Amino acid sequence: MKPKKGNNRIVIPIGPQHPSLKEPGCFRITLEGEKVVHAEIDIGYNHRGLEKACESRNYIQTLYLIERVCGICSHTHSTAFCQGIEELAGLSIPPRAAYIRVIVSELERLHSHLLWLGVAGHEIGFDTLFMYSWRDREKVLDVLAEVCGNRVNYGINTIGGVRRDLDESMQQNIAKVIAFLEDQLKYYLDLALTDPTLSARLAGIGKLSREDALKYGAVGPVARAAGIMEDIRIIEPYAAYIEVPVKPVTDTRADVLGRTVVRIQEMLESLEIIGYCLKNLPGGELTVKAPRRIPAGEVISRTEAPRGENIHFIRANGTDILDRVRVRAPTEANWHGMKHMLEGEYLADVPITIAAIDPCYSCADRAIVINSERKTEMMDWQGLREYSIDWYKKRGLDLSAVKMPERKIYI
Amino acid sequence: MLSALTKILVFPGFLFMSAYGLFLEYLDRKVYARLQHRSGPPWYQPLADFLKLLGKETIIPANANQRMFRILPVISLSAVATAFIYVPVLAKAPSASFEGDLIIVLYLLTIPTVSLFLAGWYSRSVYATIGSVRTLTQMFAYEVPLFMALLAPALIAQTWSVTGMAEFYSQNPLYHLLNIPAFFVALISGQGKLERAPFDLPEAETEIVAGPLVEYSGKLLAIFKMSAVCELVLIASLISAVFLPLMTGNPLLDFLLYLIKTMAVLLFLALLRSAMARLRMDQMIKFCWRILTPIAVVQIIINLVIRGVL
Amino acid sequence: MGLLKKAINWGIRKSPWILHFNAGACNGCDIETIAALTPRFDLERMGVIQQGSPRHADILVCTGAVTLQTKERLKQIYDQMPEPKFVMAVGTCACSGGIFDGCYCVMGGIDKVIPVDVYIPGCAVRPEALISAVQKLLDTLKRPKKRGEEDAG
Repeated sequence: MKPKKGNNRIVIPIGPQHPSLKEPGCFRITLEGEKVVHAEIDIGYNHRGLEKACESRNYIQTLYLIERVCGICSHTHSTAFCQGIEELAGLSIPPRAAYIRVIVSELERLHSHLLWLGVAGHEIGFDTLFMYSWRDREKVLDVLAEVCGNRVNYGINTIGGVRRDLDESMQQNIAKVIAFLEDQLKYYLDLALTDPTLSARLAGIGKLSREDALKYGAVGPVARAAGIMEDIRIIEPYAAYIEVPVKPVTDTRADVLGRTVVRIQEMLESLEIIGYCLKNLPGGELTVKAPRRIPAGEVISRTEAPRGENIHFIRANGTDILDRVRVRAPTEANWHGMKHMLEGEYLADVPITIAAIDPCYSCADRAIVINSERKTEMMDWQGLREYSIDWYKKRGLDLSAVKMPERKIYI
Repeated sequence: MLSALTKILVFPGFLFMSAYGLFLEYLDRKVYARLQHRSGPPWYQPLADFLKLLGKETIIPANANQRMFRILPVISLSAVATAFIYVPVLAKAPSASFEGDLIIVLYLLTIPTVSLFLAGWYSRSVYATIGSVRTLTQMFAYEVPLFMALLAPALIAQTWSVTGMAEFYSQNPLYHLLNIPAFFVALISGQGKLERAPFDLPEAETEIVAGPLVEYSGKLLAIFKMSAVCELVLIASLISAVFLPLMTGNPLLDFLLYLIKTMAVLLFLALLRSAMARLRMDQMIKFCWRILTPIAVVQIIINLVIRGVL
Repeated sequence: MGLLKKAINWGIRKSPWILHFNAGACNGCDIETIAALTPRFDLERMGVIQQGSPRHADILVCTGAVTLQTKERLKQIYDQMPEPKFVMAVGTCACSGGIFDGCYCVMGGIDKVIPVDVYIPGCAVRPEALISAVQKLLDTLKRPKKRGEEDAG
């Protein structure tokens, strides 16, 4: 935490506990005055070993675990996972289930983008915007809770369909929320484009041009704000998106303002999609019967998460326990451009630039970043010893009785 | 002697200022919350916060300068309390007044800012260091328009005393209309002085945690917070004394008017806080030097010309 | 002095400032914690303000199962907070490790690392539960001797 002096440079750590980051991640920003000259990204604080845990549970248990990859975009992860398994098992879900998946996924997009809008407002010190958008978000959560039974981690997907039906009153409530949100969203769009302080803080910040976005492999609103039409719902439709018309939303600003506008317009588009789905909701069954054992094979399943393209790789081995799952969450793809976006900015713009990709650390932390300099502080001798004892205990070797001499020097 | 002490310590001095400051903070937070569709804190909240901080453990970082770390909050609070002596609360009866006290008040007003800077500097934490550098940088931005805006009315009133100005304008209220641009300049740069949004860069929560106060805790933080609310009272009183002079001569009525005026100033500041995003340092400096300062300069020139005509 | 002590104790009960730390959660509990501060639930009614610096905080609101990488940081933050301080474990993962218990990178509940005053189970914790927990924690302070009790959640 000490400032490292030298050429008037200060290294300032942002995170892992920092008010602008709701989740642990660490950015070491080297400053020259107020300018960022170097940025180092250190993630992995949220790595829980989830993929490994999936390999010791059956498919239904795994489904709930996969939902906990991320609490904000849980539906998109479970959709991607279910789709993969369904493809391996050769199931095709009933049309009503496909429509319900799309409705929940668009509601999730609405809540996620409203959440983002609020966080963005908070990052630039505009708490009123934060409060307003979170107030509106509660309406979306109300219908999500009504449809799925939970405000977060919906648990509506199951292998072979969905677990709950949309009844008449739910549909009416969703329609009411859509009507309410349409006005609000138009107001926010107007605000983003006309409010002087807001546009002063958002325009021209965190530039990631079309070329750079392609180079760094940006996905989702970050890529779309740079003019790259990359939306899995359109280029590789899944579930009911095959039938539902989705209008592409892009922008050419390539900065934070562009990403804001893209997100708000996407929300408006989501309202259209939900409206269409409600109007054309087919009747029929909700699930098809899924086998307990999934035939061996490999599959890649892609969905469009609120933050961009979400990829699941699944390998099954013919038993009721899956062999391997790999989650490539959208934030993971967007991290690569972050250093490029941060360098040359003012310190004041760092939080909003980080927030603008809508980072989801729990999605992205698929591996521990072992940083030699930092790692030495992380675990002292005692901790290391406990860790190794635990490690061997799990493998049937109890070493806790072995007395170690008291070490004076702690690593 | 006793009455002078009472005036300085109880009413309208230190005790009144702290109590009224806590009330204004409540009002500010409540209005801010209502503007955000929240219900906001209960009326005793600032008092509870203050008492709680008094009861908390005070941690002084090992590598901070111990003596300065302890003494700076007290310096800050006492400077604000001293400045308040010269500002009229009851009509014509500030605790003390002399020709030129406006200058003293403005001078004393910079001390809390400087002690905040030093507090951050002596904390030896990166966030605090950056926050304190920002405090000082920001001071150079708002100080000039704030001073000029407060001096412009003094030119017409031909007195350098806050009380004198208040008296002059309450006798000639029409002259006050001339000062309306300066009034807004003073309000906006006062917001900068108080380090509230959109000028809350030194304690920008999402960038540098809590700025200069990041290492402060317990009693010392309580004193700094108290100093901040007292500064709020001082700025509100000063602006309302200079720019909203409406006096009847009846002490009770004047006191009521004082409350109304300061609350009106506070409401404007709360509205400003809720309606804007935080500016960046370069934007803030540009705004202060390119917009506020020219307005204040024009105001001074106009006032000089009018004074020549009179 | 008795009166001042009483007043300070009253202040502590009426002004809980929280510090939010995610020790490796899925985000669900975090967004619900933040949602508790927003207009629908508005924890500021009870005097709760979210603070950024551990030095200013009274309650550490901690979500998620503790991962190996956040463990040290969690301890450090807890040590930086001035007394009296309280810890709330928000969510099933924070209480016991929950769904992630047994993963190679997860320590388990928050109480493996720092002492916990309030456990709030739930996946995710609803803001109402959080509000109720804050109220219950503050109510325990009325009986000073029993403040360490773990029945508050």
